[in-house]
Formats: sequence, C-alpha cells, structure tokens
Amino acid sequence: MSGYLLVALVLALLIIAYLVSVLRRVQTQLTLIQDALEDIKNGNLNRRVLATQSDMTRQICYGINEIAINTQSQLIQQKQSEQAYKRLMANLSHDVKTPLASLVGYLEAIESKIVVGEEKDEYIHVASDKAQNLKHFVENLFEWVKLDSGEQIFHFEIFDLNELSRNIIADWIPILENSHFEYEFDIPETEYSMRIDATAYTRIINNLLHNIITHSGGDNMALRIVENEQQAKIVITDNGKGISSDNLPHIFERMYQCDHSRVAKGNGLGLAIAKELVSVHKGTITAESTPGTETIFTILLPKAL
Amino acid sequence: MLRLIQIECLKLRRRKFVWLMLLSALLMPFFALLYFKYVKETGGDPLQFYRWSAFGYTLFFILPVVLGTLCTMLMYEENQHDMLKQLWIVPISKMGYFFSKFFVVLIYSICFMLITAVASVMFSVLPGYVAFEWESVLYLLKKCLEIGVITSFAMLPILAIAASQKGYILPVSLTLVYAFLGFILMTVNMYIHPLPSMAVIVMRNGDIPGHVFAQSINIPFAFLCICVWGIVAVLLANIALGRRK
Amino acid sequence: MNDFVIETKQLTKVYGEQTAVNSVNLHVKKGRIYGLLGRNGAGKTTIMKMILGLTSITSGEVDVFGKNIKGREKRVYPRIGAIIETPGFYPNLTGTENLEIFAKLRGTAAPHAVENALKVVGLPYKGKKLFSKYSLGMKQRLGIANAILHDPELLILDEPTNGLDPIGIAEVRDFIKNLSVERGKTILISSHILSEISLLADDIGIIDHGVLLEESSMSELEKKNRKYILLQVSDIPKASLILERQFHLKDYSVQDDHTLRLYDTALDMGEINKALVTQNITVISSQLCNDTLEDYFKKITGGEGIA
Repeated sequence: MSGYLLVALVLALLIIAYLVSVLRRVQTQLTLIQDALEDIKNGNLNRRVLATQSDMTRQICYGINEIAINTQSQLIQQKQSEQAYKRLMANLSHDVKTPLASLVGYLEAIESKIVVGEEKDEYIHVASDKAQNLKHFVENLFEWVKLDSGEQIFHFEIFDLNELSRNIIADWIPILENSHFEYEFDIPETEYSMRIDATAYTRIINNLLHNIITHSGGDNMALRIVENEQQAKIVITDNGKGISSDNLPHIFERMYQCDHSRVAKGNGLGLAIAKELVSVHKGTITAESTPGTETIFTILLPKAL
Repeated sequence: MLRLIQIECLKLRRRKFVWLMLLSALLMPFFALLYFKYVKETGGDPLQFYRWSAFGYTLFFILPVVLGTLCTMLMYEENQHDMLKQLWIVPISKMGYFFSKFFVVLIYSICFMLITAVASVMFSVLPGYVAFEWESVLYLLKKCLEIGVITSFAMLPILAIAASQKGYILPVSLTLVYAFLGFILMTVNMYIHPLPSMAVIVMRNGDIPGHVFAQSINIPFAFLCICVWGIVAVLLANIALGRRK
Repeated sequence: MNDFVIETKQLTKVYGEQTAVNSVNLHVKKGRIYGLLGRNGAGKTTIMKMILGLTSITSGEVDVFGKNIKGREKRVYPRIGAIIETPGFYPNLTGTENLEIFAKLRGTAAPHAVENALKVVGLPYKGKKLFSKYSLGMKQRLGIANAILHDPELLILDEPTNGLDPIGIAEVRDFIKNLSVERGKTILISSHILSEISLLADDIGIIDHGVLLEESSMSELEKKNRKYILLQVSDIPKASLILERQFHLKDYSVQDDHTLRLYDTALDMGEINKALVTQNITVISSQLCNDTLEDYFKKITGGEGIA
C-alpha cells in the first residue's frame, strides 16, 4: 500500500515540478516581452520577441513582432524616398550645371564676337543642341516628379495593343535609319484588345528605344510582341555593349547611370519613368544582358487590368 | 529542460548505431535461453532465469559499456562537427546542456532495461521454462527499472569525461576500465565505486540468488558513494565545459 | 544611449606568447554594415569570438546593445545571429531538421520561420538531403539561414561567402545588403577580400596583425579612390568652352562656381593650363587625384596589401 502512495507522491511532485517550470517559462517570457516593448517604444524597431511553438505567449510575441516589422518597413521606405530625393537634388545641380556652363561659354563666345562666319553658325548649332538636351532633361524630370508624387492622371481605355505598337514604331523607323540601326519588328497581325493608357504605353516604348539608340552603341535591334490570354509580352533586344551584372539591378532606379562619373547624354530618368509606367499597368519590366552580345528588356502587361 | 531533452532526442534521428546498441539488451536473455535449453534445468524458478538474463552480465558489464559508449557519442558528435559554438551563442547554459545529455542517457538506460525485462519474460515463458506469473514479472520490471535509473547516475563520471574530451578514444577506454574496475571492486569494497554500490542497492534484500557480497549491505553508504561520484562528475563537467569555449 | 551596437574598448587577446588582438576599439553603428578587413590570421575571427563570448577576453571590454558582455548573456545573444568560421550542423539530419532544432532552442520571431529562412537562402524546405551530403556552398547557405532564423537585430558574419561560387557570392552580397538597407539590420562582416568589403560595407575597419589600423566610413574612403583631375578656375563657362573646342573634352562635370572635374587623367595638364591662361582664365589650382583603394590599403598596411 505504502508503495502505491509513494508512486502517487512522486507523480504528484513531478506534475507540480512541471507546472512550476511552465509558470517560470511564462514569467521569463513576460519579462522578455516587457523588455522588448520598452525597447520598441524607444524606437528600436528591429527588436523581436522570440517564442517557440510550445510557448503560451507565442501569439502575443508573434503579434508584437509583426507590428514592429511593419512599422519598420514603412519607416525605411519613407527614409529611402527622402534620401532618394536628396540625392536627386544633389545630382540635379550637377546635371544642370555642366551643360549650362558650357552653353553659357558658347553663347558668350558668340556674343563677344570671338567667332564669326561659319564657325559662329556651328557655335550656335552646338549651343542650340545643348539647350535642347537641357530642355529634354527638365521635361523628363517634371514628368518623373509628377509620376512619383502620384499627380499624373491616367486614362485607361480599350486599345488594340498591336495596332498601337505599330503606330509607335512607324515614328521610330526614320530615326533608327538615321542612327544606322538595323531593325526587326515582329508584331502579330491579329487584334489584341486590352485596357491601357495609350500615352503611357507610347512613353514606355519610346524611352526604351531612345535608351537603345543613345546608350547601347549597337547597330541591331528588335521588338517582338507575344500575346496569350493572360498577358502580353513585349521583348526589346539590342546587340550593344550591354549592362554589366553590377549595374543591372539598378538600371531602373532614378538617376542611375551606368557610367557614374560621366556626363552622358541621358539623364538616368528614362528607364525609371518606364518602370513607373509599367507598374501603373500592373505589369513588370525586367532586363537581362550579356555584355557585348545582347541586352533584352522584357515587359509583361496583364490583359485584365 | 523538457525542451532540451526533446531536442536531444531529435538529434538522434537516423543514428542507427544508437538504436542498434539497444539490441544488445537482447543478448543476455538470449544466452539465458540457450543456457537453460542445453545446460540447466530451471526447476520452474523464474528468478534463476532472470538472474542470468537480467541481473548478470547485463548489469555489470553490458549496460555500463553501452551507456558509456552512448555518453561518448552524444558528446563527441557535437564536438566533431563544431556544433558547440553555435549552441553557446543560442545561448544554452552549460549545465542545461550537460543535464539534457544526462537525461537522454537516463531514458535510454531505462528503455534498455525494459527491453531486457520484456525479452527475459518472453524467452522464459514462451519456451515453457517458467510459467507466466504476474508476481515474478512485476518483480523483474521493478528491478530492471531500478537498475536502469541508478546505472545512468553511476555513469555520470563517464559523461563528464566525454564532455571534457575532444576525442572518443579516452572516454571509451575509460568506460571499459570503469566497468571492469566495478566488477573487481565488488569483491573488495562495494562502497568506493558507483557500479558495485548500484548492485548493492538493487540487491538490498538479498533476494537475488547467486550473489555473495563481500561486505554487509549498507544502503546509505551505497547512495552516498553514487552521490559523491555524481557531484564530482558534475563539477568536473562544469569546469570542463566552461573552459571549452 | 549612444548609437553603437557593438563597441569594444581596448579589446585584447593573448594566446600564450602571441598577441592575437591588440587594444582594438571597434565601433559598429546601428543599421549599418561594418566590414572588418584583414588577411587570414589578422585577428578578425578572434574579435568576433570575443564579442560572442566564444573565447575569453584577455583584457578590455565589449559592449553589445549598450550592455557590457561578460558571460553567456541570455538577454543579449538571442538578438544576435552569427556565423563563425564554417558552421557545423548535425550530419545525420536534413537542413530543415537542423534548423528546426535551432528554432526550438531559440524560439522564432514569426511562424514558419524555418521555411522562410530556407527560402531566403535558396535551400529547399523539407528537402530529403542530409547535411552530411551538402556541398560547401549549401553548408554555408544553411549557416546563413540559421543566423537569420530568429530575425536578429545584429548579424555577425565571419567570411560568409567562403566556399560559394561567384554567383552565390553575388547573391549573398545582395542579400546582406538588403538586410541592412531594407530591414535596418546592423551587420558586422569580416573578409579578406577588399572588393567584397568595398561593395558591401558602409563602415570599414582594417585590421592587421591584431591591430586596428584604420576605422572610417566607406564614403570617406571612396573620396580617396577617384581618378580625376580637379581644376579650379576663375571662369567656368569660358574654361568649359576651351576644353570642348580645343581639347575635345566631353568627360567633365561642374562641381561648383569654380571647380571642374576632368575624368580623363591622361590629359596633358601643362597644355590645358597654358590654353586657359592665354584666354585670360586664372587657374587657381589643378590637382591629380589618382589614389585607388588598393593603393590606400597598401599604404596603411605597410606595403603588403590585402587580397
């Protein structure tokens, strides 16, 4: 009889020990949560409260973490866009200053009659080119700012994508020929209706083609459109110098120029604008490149917006 | 602690050798079977059979050696694969780590003896040497549990040695020495080595035939011996693990 | 409270006769990537081990999250994720099972942590492959997955790209950068490869023979790493006209009212100066900035270089 009592006692003790250990675990968890909350309250949004599957406080911990993670990511996004604006402004002053300075140089030379006759005409021509470039840049900039701040209003209407694309291409053919590009277009003859903002779409294609002509340095390009029931795929390729793998992830960032130091013709906004516009259409734009052989830009636009 | 033990068990997944060692629990019951088949008549006394199958070499030799090997394996594996730094930065307390290993040894030891017990009963009842009776089976189970629990405590020194060593050769050879020493010291002084002390506690009532004790039975002495060795082992492990950062 | 996540004060480690780390004062700022650059055996791993309490500190102090680290800190270590040397795991378990062990030990910050961590490093969840069959690259990835399993605030990564192929290195690099940029993690990373650190780090510490030779921000260092001619003149428009007409130079930019940067360092500065002066433009200064990071490191480490 006493043997059974002993067993029962031992069992009871074990159960009590177990309960006490659970209680202590909860207690330590609670102090941890308290600590973490204090820390998060003080602005350390990286703080997490850890819990295992068996912890009673699991849901609370995970909940706190989720709040911290979400707030953190919002904060970081905000900071990033602030920084990007600062960078934009800083770069802007350089990007405007340099062409402006040389423009003033040319105009001064003309004004003070240092150059005459044919040379003067040439100076005027160069100066006008520079002014055009600047104008183009400022226009781009405003467009981008408008897009970025969400002020741009889009008009989505049903268009035949193939028809629209052919119209855009038609304007580009003389430019391509002038720039000594061989080209190939492969656009289906059928009709493909989808809701699209025609101006925005034109802008996307224009920016990509413009990018190829000014930056690729190649002499062959192609535009192909493949469509199915869900989406349209627009593939634009060129055989230019390509984009190195270091630069590739960043080319759609505003003000990103592969060639850091240089004052190139571009302004680092074209692709950023294209990307913004594609995402307005709930599509994606990606780039892949084998430097020196081929660069491929792929746009996917969903048919149902 | 429960969590640590559970995790220790998870770590043993697919460690075939660990599970194979459990088969050695069948060894003595099997020999007992052969012995009684060809050599001796039991006369229907289950204790005679159990003495061979469970309280003989299993107790003095097989179980300690198996547990010693297990201790070494538990410790060696993590050392070998550079696991400790990852565990320390979790962080895991040194003693929590040591005791979770110990509990694995304890559980393993109990399982081992339970297998021995079940095998003994089966090997004795099925061929018909012994009639099945609850009384003797329960007695066997009780003794086996005692052996399982106490032996694992008696193996604490080996676990501590294994924790302090990077290799496996020293702990394994020490296990062999430890077990032999226990066997020899049994006839000299039962209270200076944990294994004989364990035997003393298990056979305190003198109801297991065939064992003659060198000294009179003194249960507190036996417990004291195991406790002292155990505490020394824990302290050693504490120091060793502290140094092994 | 200061903004240093890790701060060491006169941290020193002596092994027998040899001083492995000598009075190092490290300052890892919150939310930034700190690159510890040094050759193999320079003491990088030892510093990290001391921070994590994996080896004893001979003298000096380590503060992590503003708390002085003495032993195994229960409150501090769960906030750190680390890889030290090559990470070890249980060879008899699969990657998923290994991570589950650590998830159980440490707890996680969200449900499905193991699945997410594996996805992030590109290993299959519930894969059948045992760790013993893993390639070195997979092992390293699993180590990284383990380090980020509990979404720690601070990551201590000892040569995390060891054993990875070039594509893997680029992936891990982007991933680490993302952790810092998009999730605000603080990261202490060590490497013996200059290019790797210069691509990743915001701050950099150069260590050689256990001594921290220099600690500065990457942007500071990069200023020393440009190749250009700095030209200060009185009249920018005139100067730019001359540069364009006479030297057919397009590769320049205007810095401020008097400063130009010319990116072609092979120019004959004498000729340019002469041309400018004859046009009544005062050249205030012209200076060639032609230091690469590599040259700079060579200078600091006493001519031996790091790579």
